[in-house]
Amino acid sequence: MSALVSFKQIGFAYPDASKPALHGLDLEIAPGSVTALLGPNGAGKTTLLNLVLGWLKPADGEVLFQGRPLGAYSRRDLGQKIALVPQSEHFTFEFTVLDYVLLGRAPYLQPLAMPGAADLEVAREAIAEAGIQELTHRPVTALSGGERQLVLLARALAQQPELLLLDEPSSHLDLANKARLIKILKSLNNRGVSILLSTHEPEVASSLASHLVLVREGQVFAEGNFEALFTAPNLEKLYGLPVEVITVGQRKIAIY
Amino acid sequence: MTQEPSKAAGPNLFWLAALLIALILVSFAIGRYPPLNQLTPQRLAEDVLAQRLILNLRVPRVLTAVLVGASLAAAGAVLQMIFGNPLVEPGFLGVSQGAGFGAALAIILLAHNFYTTQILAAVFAFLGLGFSYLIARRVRFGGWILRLILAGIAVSALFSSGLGILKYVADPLSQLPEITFWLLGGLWAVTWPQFISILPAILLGLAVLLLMRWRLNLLSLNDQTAFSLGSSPARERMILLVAAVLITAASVSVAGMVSWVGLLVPHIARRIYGADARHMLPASMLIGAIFTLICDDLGRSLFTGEIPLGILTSLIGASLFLYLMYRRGSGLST
Repeated sequence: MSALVSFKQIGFAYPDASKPALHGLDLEIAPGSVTALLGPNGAGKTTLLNLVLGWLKPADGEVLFQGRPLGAYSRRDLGQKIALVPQSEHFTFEFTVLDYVLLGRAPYLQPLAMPGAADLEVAREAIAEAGIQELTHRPVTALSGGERQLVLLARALAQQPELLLLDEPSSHLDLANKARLIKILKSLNNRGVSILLSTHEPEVASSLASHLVLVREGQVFAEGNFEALFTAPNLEKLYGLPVEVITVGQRKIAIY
Repeated sequence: MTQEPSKAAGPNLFWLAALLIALILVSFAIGRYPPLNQLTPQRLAEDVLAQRLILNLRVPRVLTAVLVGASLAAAGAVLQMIFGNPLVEPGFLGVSQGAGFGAALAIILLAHNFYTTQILAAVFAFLGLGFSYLIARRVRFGGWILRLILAGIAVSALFSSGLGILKYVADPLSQLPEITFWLLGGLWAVTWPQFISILPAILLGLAVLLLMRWRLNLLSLNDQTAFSLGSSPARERMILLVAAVLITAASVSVAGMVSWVGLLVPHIARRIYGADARHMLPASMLIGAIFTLICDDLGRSLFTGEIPLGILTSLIGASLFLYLMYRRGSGLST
């Protein structure tokens, strides 16, 4: 089966940066997989996600989605296929959670169209799936960090994407919400949605991912099956400190 | 297309529209001649002077106040959203200062002619935007919105110093008072031709804004998010920006500087109808029209001499704004 996303010899540098964020990077993401980008802060994980989104354009190389270059898709097409849950988002205006999640329907609507009853239904379902029905009519500006992150997730769900990108999705979540997020993402993946997430928390990767991509200093330093890669020597190289991997129940956990 | 009641708060927009229409009709009757207590259908049928006064002066003036108020409020609401900043108003981006400079230039160079003043004011309003845009494209740091706002501040300052020079060289007996009066804002010189001259631009601009009003919600998010939701934020914002500047330039060209409508009214609309532009934008237009019309009615009827519209909108607008801030937050998060 052909790759969902392929990076071909990607080079990328931010303006005014002394060294490139990514260089000579090759990577393929399989359809239907849950792939975790694991690496220390500043390794280039968010840059990778933004390249998949098309928000950043590589200086060298090409990013393909379902075998075609990203530039070959219309903006609306990509919005229907790829959704992003950003790490955080600043809310300026007091939209209700429902209004906010409804914006996830934008890629399905012509620029002058208003969302209809069917779109509203999708938005309500997305809110229910994210488990935040009680927040439906609350203004987004009044929410806590964790609640906000679930609203961002609900909006991405309303996009009904084929590929869901998540940038550090667990960073503002408490234990219960982290578990809820993992459950939601698992059920989404069971319905055929591919998931690519960045995280610096090995536990999140270990409870979710089927594939692991270890990113360090702008390069993929190892990638493949989660079981094979999630080892103490790999994590030690990745983070540059002694790590021990132990198995609790069926889960591997990294301790340091 | 269904209008789902995602926000049920606030009175139905229909009542707001009804209030505006009632106010328009009342405004036709307000004025020094004929006195209100003598204004009967009979009197109107017989008094040719009263007929002319109302039809040729009062009706176009009242309708222009409605257009100007709706435009400035809508432009304010739209700019606040596309710049993601609730403190932005239509005077931004060099538009108002440009218009003021253009009007002063016309008064000094082209002498006493309402049309040249109107045209130059509109042209320089757009030049203000154009300069801001070109400068913002060349700035090498910061996000697009920050660059545009910084460029707008610089262009405004340049035009405003240019205006200072023009005032300095203006004839203090004839030209200077005219410039000053124009800058204070007012509709005293408006008759049908002025109304007709701005009507097409304003209808076009307002139509674009109203049609894109749900999209506006999307464009109020940061660039990356709007992009991930399948839009081309820079291009779509530019369409809205040009429409907003078009109606601002048209308004300023007949009314001069009418401040505070564009800043204050969207806040009131947001407070009553919520942030969703599907309701907030039409509400802003209606409230802006009502507010401006009331100010103009007061300005021309309170005293024997007319109070410039811009003075009243600032006085009442700023007081209301303070009151809103004291009462419960400012309706925005920081």
